Amino acid sequence: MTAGANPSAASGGSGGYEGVSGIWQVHSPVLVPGLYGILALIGAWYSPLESITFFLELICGIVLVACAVFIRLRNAQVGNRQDYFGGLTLLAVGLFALWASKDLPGMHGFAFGPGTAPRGFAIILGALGAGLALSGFLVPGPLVERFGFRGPVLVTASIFVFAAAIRPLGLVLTSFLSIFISAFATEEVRPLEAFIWAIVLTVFCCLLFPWGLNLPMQLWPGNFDPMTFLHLR
Amino acid sequence: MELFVNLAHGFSVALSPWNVLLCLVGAIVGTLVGVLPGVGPVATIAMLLPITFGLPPVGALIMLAGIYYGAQYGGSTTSILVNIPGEASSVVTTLDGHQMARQGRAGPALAIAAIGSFFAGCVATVLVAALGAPLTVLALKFGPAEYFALMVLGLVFAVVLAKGSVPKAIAMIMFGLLMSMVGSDIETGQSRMAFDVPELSDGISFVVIAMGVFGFAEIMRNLDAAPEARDVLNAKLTGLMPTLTDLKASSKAILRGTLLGSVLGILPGGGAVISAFAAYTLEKKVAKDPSRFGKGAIEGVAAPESANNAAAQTSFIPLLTLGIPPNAVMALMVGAMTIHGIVPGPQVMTKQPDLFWGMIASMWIGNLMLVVINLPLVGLWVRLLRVPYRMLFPAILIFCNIGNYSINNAPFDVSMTAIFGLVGYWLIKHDFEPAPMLLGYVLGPLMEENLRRAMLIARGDPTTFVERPISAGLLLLSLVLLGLALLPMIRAKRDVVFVEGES
Repeated sequence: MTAGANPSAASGGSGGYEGVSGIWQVHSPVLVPGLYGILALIGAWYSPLESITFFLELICGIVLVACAVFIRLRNAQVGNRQDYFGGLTLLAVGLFALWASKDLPGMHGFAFGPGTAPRGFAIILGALGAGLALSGFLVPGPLVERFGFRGPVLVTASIFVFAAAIRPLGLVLTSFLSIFISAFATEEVRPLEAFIWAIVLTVFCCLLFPWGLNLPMQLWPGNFDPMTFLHLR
Repeated sequence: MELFVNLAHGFSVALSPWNVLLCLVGAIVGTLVGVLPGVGPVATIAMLLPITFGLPPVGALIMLAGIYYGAQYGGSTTSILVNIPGEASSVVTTLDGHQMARQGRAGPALAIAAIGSFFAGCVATVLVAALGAPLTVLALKFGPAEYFALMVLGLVFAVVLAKGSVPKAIAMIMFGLLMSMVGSDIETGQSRMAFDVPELSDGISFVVIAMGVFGFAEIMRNLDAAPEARDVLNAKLTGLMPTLTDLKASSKAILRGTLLGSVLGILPGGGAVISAFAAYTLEKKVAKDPSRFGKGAIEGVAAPESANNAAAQTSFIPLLTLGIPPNAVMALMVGAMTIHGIVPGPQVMTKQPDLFWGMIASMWIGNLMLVVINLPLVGLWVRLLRVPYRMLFPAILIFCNIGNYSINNAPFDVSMTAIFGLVGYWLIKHDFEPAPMLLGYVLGPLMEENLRRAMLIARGDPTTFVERPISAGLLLLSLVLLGLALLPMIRAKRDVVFVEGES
């Protein structure tokens, strides 16, 4: 399980990993725990000394970095990448939550403090994540399915555009922009069709939500309201 | 025969032609708005509440009942068709409902959801009328320790309903619990894990998480898939109505779901949410072939939908006697009722029999209207899936965005939803299931609150949970269920290890 690891073996049966993706495929089992470990150590640095948070962040940070070094030196192969990366990330989430609730008071005599439950759940989540990562390292399993790029990025971008533009630009421009951007999230996009469809949907949304359902929504940017010109006053 | 006198009185109030018309209009509008993906029942009812304000109290309540059922069913429709649950209880419907839709069986799924809901509504209406007062006693037996045990049981249901690995499901629950901790502490009001972001001080809203992790992540995943594999419509549509086999398979599921929902609905808070999960778990456990669940088993739609509806109906008992709404939708309904002069409290049954029984009857009529409107509409909804995906998903996205924004007029919520969309996408890629996470998120605050109270009352003595019989029973049941869920997992894992060792 140790020697003779080459990139093609690392990418397993899925094939087709080249360039950046291939490099990531080979080095991520080292980089991910290393990064999380360093973050945990930074978390320990910024935690109150001798608190449980400090100790857990410190121990987990050292262990994670040690694991990364071990995997790098032994060239060890990960069995189940889904569980391995999933577990490591949940461990990191648990450590982050632990750090985020570091200033909350804990048990107060026999009464729970505000920090008791979050810390408890964070520790359980971290422990489960660590266990999952360990079993994922040892037991073989599937690779992580390849992440799409175009879909997630453009869908997310269109939502962010909506969030950023709805206040300053009003519903009409925002809907149109957001729909048009999101339409490009698939390779099958037909630009002209997307353009027309964006106009149709925008008109529909503007008729339905502000008028039909009477939601208080601004239609146009700022004080500029072309509707006033249409009122023929 | 006080029961029938009361019910008859209710129906005499509710059944005037004018009131029936109002109910019909309410159900139509509620369905049409609620069926927009991203506009869940909460948003629908909130948007439509104002149209009832001008009506006389009874008429307004009846119209509200129509809107309520329309919105509820509209939410189930989006769960089934586009995998966006509008509220906690329809999360379960997505599991098998959406799978059915992907197999071209959206029609039967939608129809069975309506039929199951109607049946459950009928039974629960009679139950409320017959047992209303005595059942309240049961709810009063529940102290914090019992509630905590109930929440634990609910979370175990979430583990059992997961398709894949049990440890992963438990990890997801913990993740959900942690996310529910964001915001203000219930007792001290101290801000927790909010990083001084004012928008986070109230916590992350259910809509944000559900829409992101289920809806947006599903869209991203669909965009990854090849067009042939993704288009729901390319799966051959096999009939709009359930076949006789479907009906036979789901009749028992509906019956069990109704019973479970009626009982759990009586428990204030949480009960109605847990009922859908519990019904699903029960079906999975009694099924001859549990592996069908999560892959489009019709019982997996029928049982939770009936349980959900039965629970919604019987949850009127704690709602009206103790004044505790079981979920956000009901909380809105209470708000509307207060405007029309029904103030929740023990005296409502005796002091305002017109309104109380009229409302019970109108809930039933609303339920009937829902079936009347929606069975013919099933074909229309299913046909919506024929729109090419490249046009469908921008529409879903924009409706979600506007619906989400309209709840609080908060752009921050919209951005958070996008982030949760990415989280959900990551979860899918690493084979984590979002449903247990969402249940953990929903039950988290209740669980923490009751745990803290129980510990405080017992002066820090944890044996209180096993000394009280109801709580001990519930915890024992959780343990047994968890054991049953874990057993095959351990065996399977050991097999994998052995296989590895030999090779």
